Amino acid sequence: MRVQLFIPCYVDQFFPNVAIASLELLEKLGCEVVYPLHQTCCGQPMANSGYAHLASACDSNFAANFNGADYIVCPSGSCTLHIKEHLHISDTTLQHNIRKHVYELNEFIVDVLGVKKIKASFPYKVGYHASCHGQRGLHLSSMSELMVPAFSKPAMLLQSVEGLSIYYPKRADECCGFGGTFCVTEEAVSVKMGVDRLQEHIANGVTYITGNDMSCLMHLQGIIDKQSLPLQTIHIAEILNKTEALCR
Amino acid sequence: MSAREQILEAVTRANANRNRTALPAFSYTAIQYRDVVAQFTEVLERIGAAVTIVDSLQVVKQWLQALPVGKTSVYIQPNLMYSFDTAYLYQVDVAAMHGTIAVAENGAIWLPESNMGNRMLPFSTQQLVLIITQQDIVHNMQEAYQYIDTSAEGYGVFIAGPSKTADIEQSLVIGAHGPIAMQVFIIK
Amino acid sequence: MSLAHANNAATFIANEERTNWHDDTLWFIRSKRDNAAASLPEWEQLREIASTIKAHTLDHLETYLVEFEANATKNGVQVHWANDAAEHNAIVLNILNAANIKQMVKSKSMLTEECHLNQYLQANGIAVVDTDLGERIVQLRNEIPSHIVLPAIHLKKQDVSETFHQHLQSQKDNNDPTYLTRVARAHLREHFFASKVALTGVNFAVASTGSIVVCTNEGNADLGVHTADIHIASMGIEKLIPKAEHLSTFLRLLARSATGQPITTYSSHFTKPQAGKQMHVIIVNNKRTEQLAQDDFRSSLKCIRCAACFNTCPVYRRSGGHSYHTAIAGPIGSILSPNIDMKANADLPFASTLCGSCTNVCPVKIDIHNQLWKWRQRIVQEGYDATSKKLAMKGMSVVLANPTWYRLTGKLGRWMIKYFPSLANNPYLNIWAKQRNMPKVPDASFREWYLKNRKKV
Repeated sequence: MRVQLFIPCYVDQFFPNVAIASLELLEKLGCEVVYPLHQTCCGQPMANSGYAHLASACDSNFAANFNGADYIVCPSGSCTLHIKEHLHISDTTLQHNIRKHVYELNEFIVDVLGVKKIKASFPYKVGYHASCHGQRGLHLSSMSELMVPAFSKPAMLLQSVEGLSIYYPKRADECCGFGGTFCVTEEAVSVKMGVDRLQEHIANGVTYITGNDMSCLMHLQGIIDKQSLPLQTIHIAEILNKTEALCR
Repeated sequence: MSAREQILEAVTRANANRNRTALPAFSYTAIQYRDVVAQFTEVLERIGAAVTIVDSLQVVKQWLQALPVGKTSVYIQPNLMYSFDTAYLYQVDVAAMHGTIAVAENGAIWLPESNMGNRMLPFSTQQLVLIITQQDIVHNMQEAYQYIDTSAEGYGVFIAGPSKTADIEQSLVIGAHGPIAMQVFIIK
Repeated sequence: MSLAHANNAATFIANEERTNWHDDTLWFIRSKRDNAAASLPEWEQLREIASTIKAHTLDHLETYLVEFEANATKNGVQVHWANDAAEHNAIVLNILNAANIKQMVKSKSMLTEECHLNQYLQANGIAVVDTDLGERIVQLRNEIPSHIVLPAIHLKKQDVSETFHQHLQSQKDNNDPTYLTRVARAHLREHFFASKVALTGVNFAVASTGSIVVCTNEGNADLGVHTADIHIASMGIEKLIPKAEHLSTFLRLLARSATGQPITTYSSHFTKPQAGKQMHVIIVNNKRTEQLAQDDFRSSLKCIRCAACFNTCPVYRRSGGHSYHTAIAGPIGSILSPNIDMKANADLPFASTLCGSCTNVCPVKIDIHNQLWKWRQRIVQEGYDATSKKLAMKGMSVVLANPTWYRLTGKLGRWMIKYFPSLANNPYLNIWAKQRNMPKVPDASFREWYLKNRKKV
């Protein structure tokens, strides 16, 4: 199966290990992975700030990189959701196809590849952060607000990892406070929300916090580093990629 | 153009050329309880009312008669016209009235105006006593609205427990502006 | 008070202990809502039905308004129409003046907050006493409610005790909630019995019967109305529902969503005035028709004012209702208020991370977080965004459209952070760095790694 890799701009620039892990993981799962070389950004930072009308050139550049025929896989719930809901280009067929084929990494592994277990090893206590856009937008997992049976694609994959114990914070899906430009326009609230999340994970005694969105983790890590807190963030791709051999 | 005309015209304009939503079918099963009396009682007690199951209305009347001497109490016969002095209404300690439908899911009792004696009385009394029969208890609100015509009279109210508030630092206080206590009698 | 939510929020958060208390208290109410919702297996179906009933009503609002008016009038209710706040306030004043009455009791009505009724009446010589306990507390303190269901949620019992000691001569330093409630009971009973006019809000207006329904826990609405000679009920045009049987759906959702109770203590159905008394209903627009005319935002008018969205909002809980500087704070306020005054409320749709929790607790399924996003586009297009941000965004749109510029900018940014960390981490130059470290700089971008390690040219 051929997959085009869509890497969030800040992951490309600051967290290449997440992209490398995503690439390697997909290959181990039997995919032929291509990275379109001229991608930049999905345009979400502008659109969420009220500037969707300035995103057309950015959208065109995105569409020039992805053919809409292959699956497009992205290690980020929010970027994936943004393309799914807000990509606007003049070629409406291509627009439709791209939106249809774009998947967040975990949902691609579970829903398209049909993989429910990853033979990886990560013997640590891991706190689960349910990034909002992936959860409430892409339905990667159920949410506490709705009275529906519980499920979680990312947690299911994590639970199959050898030695890993997963811990949920008391407020299982409260937002971390990043919110795009919100992280600086409402800096006080943003940081307070992050601090509160971290306190709950620290109370669980976890060594790592993981999730599917590096933006959330970057924000939490920023607080962790500033306050020298006793835990680390790690993107779920990096955990799932800690495998030697693989079985379905 | 009057305000009425302006508003209706603006609404009509806003709704022109729309695909108008139809009313939904009420095709779901509202909650049913194994024991409506037990559920009703449990909810009511949780919200601060006292609940007593009795054999007959006579027992209730005896209870009223046995109230301490200083208490001003009144029993309201359903569908009877009463003429109360406002000053009297302000003094009533215990007022007993008949409810018509009771709802197990939330402990509410429907009290129509014709059973109140005076609209103010269920609220000005210090303690409200509501009398229902076991057969009056339905499972849920969906059923309740099938049995009552809430506009048959000029005023009616679902009452679920004594008045209360949590407006001061979320501390629940039973007894706000309405009755500070409620006693429900369920006649078997 | 600054109009920028962010500034107000920063002030609020500076008191971390109080913020934690406010946040925990409201989260607890959200949890009670969850428990109440979980107790009904049909919860999600109820939400869908309520949402559809409201959507249908809005789609046929002109018909239902006329039907309501006809039935209410038949019942002896006097129906008035007010296109804006000023007209509404004038109608209330006229009713009072016609009866030569100088004082009024009022139970909770967020519409009258929106219309600034109290101030208007006071300026015209009418004394208004708010009778909901939370509203009376804030009234005595000269504040506005910070929450549409729990007006005094931002206050601790010491605050209430001080206020009551100052205004009602309660015992100094007696913070017991029961004691304070009894003090308010005695004080407000005097006002109930003395006032001949009572104004209430309207939770639901039933078109087929001409009735209005008012939901309270305290009994203040009913006590006020029944001790008065004149009942005035103020309602927005969106309060209509078609039939009485629909109340079963809404009454099952309202209190559970608001506070986690299965129902409020009183669900009062007013159909006819008591013999010899007057009942007035004032139907108010105040720009609701403009909201209705916008496809993007009309569904916000489904709102039944439960405030579940407030309680779940991580931003509201940590910034407090007063940070929103409007009658209705929280997520729903942020999609209603820009319609009423876009300039004054341009900051509100940005006071959110778009997490989507609000949308999913809303009993009538308003897509609040999507509307917040859409309001952001509208506000920017109308020119209400800061110039500095406009410039930054324009710059960003150019860079991100061009792969070469993007790569150069990224490389430059990494280089700056690596070689000038003190600049990058300077909190005066970089807001991020006030309370967070910048990310560690990798040796290469992913693209650079890919070209070196994977791309076979």
